[in-house]
Amino acid sequence: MNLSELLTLSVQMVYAWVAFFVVTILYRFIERKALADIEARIGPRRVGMSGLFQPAVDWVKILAKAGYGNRSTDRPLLFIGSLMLLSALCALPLGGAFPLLDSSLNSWVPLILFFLMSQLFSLVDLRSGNLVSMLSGVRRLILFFGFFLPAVLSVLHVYLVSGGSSWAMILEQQQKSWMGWNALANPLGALSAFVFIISGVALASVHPFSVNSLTPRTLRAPLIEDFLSFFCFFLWSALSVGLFFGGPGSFSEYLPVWPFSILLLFKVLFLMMLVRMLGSSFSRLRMDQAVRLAWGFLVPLAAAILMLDSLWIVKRGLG
Amino acid sequence: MRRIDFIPSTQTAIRIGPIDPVLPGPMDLFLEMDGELIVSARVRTGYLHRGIEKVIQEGPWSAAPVAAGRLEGESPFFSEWVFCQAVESIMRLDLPERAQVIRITLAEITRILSHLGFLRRMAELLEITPLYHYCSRDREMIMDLLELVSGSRWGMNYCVVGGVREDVTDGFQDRVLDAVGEIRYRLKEYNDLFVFHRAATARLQETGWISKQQIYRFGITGPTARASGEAYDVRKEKGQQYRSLDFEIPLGSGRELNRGDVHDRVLIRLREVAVSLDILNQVCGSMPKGNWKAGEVGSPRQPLVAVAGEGFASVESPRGVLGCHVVSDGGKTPVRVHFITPSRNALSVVPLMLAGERLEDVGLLLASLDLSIGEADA
Repeated sequence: MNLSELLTLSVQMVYAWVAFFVVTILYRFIERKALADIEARIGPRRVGMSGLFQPAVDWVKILAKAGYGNRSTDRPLLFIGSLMLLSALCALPLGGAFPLLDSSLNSWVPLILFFLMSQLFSLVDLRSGNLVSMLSGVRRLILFFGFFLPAVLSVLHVYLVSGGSSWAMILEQQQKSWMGWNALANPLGALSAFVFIISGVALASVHPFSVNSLTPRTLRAPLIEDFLSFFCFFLWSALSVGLFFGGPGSFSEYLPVWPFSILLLFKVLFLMMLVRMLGSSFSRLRMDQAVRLAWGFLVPLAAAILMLDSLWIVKRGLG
Repeated sequence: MRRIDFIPSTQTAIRIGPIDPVLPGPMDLFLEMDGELIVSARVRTGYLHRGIEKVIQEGPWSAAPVAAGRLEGESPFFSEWVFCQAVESIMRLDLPERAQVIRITLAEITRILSHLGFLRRMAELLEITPLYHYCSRDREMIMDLLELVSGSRWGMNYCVVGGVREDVTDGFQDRVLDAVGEIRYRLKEYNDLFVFHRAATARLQETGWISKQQIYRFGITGPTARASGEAYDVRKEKGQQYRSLDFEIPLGSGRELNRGDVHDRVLIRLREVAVSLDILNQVCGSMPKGNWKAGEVGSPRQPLVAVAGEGFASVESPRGVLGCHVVSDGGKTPVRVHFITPSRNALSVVPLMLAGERLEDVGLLLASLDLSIGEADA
């Protein structure tokens, strides 16, 4: 890689990050307004036009209140997490120049980073040295062990169907199915998408699977935590869209694709919004209920899907 | 009680409190845990002790109902009411019918306010945010009514010995009836959520059992007792003011099972809101005309001085039977005032109820008893 290529790559990454932050603020505004409407409230309305800049101001406010943590906070771990998450952007099929990482295994990178990031707060809790915090860390770990397996099994379905694990192969295979979505290709695809979505929501610790951190406020860094949780959720949604809902799609000639595909971004944010809206009417699942859902329903379902996939592939091979 | 076979391992001790979001108020909860399961629990209260009874004993009779109203924040009308009733029983006062009806109206409005507060707390702990906001919205409507009557949304200072402080304003009954209609309509939604929403019922059912024997043993009253099948309600048993009204006392599944769980305690309060709405419909539909106070009692021309004697009264507050014992020697201040509060008794069942349950459910289980720590500490 020569200097000009490196510069181009750096500019693309920085531009993508800036675009991501702007989109985040817009999304946050829309989400807060929509949830407020559901909850018979007005929602943000003071800062900017109809409260458009309220999320940005909130971030500044948290920052001013030591939102980045203090001496007791596990800041190194949180900063490493933030960098890893931003790196995950490079390996996502966002359309345009993305994924920047060109490899036959490039879909594994954001997936592994997502799994790691989902456990970042467990590590923070476990390293806190506080008994109650460690309990919430253990809870997150238990949740992770429950939902990790069905998530991986459902992704394996996509790899089996696509014949590889690179984004190029996955997206190419999806174009052949109805609507260009793996989730609509056949019933197994739909079930796999269902398993991945439920498992991913649990791993991203989004309501109704959220685990309340019991770590004292003095040990926490609200701004970084808020950013990491949001981006973990975003990563899950981008992975779901990339694996099951057609990725950037085939409308690149009609819609702008730099730095992101607008269509992909819309799909990602819509999925996030849908989960938040549906989740808001559910009560939070207790740990044993969530674990029972994972081991008693999602794991057998994902395993059965994979077995049927194998049979289908063997039959196709024999045919 | 369920029998729990604990895995032998080193148990951990956790202290929750004195200030914690899962607690109903300032208190300490000492838990011994085996993993996620609670082996034993111990409660310590006293952080909110304000010496209300002593405050009343130190002040003049006319200021006593005001201080009595500070006994509990969520439904202050009941403690004012029960104190006034106790004093009226010493003085053998006969209240005008209008005063009694106004008191019943305010009592039922406050009961609805308290039960909606209970539902809001449950929604908060279950993390069903829309329901939390819906209950808040409906509570606003109720608090507007209280403000219309007394000028205050919380500490009302409305009940006085011999009646009520002021007559209700014109059109008050119509506004109450409008609110009754709206809440009845929304109650169906809340009922659907707590009865048919699988995610919510899965958290509420089969947890926090309280048997009928425990109800008797600890002297628990109110909706918690009725959820476990004990059909005692002061309004039916002793409430002379309620005698002319037609209403039913709802009972939980404890009627058949001899025990009630958290889900029963939620449903019983939903049904009690419906009962209160029925009562409000009856009293506001035909409010009698006349005085709202017995003669000149407590006015500047006739300062309130109770005759010597003892009086006891009890009312059915949203949390259970609230009793008040007053002793007077005919002087300017009461000699002795003592409140019997439902939360104090309900608090004593907490260790038994929590044993064998999960740490995650502690907040939900405590909230299901609708405890008021201010009332328990008095």
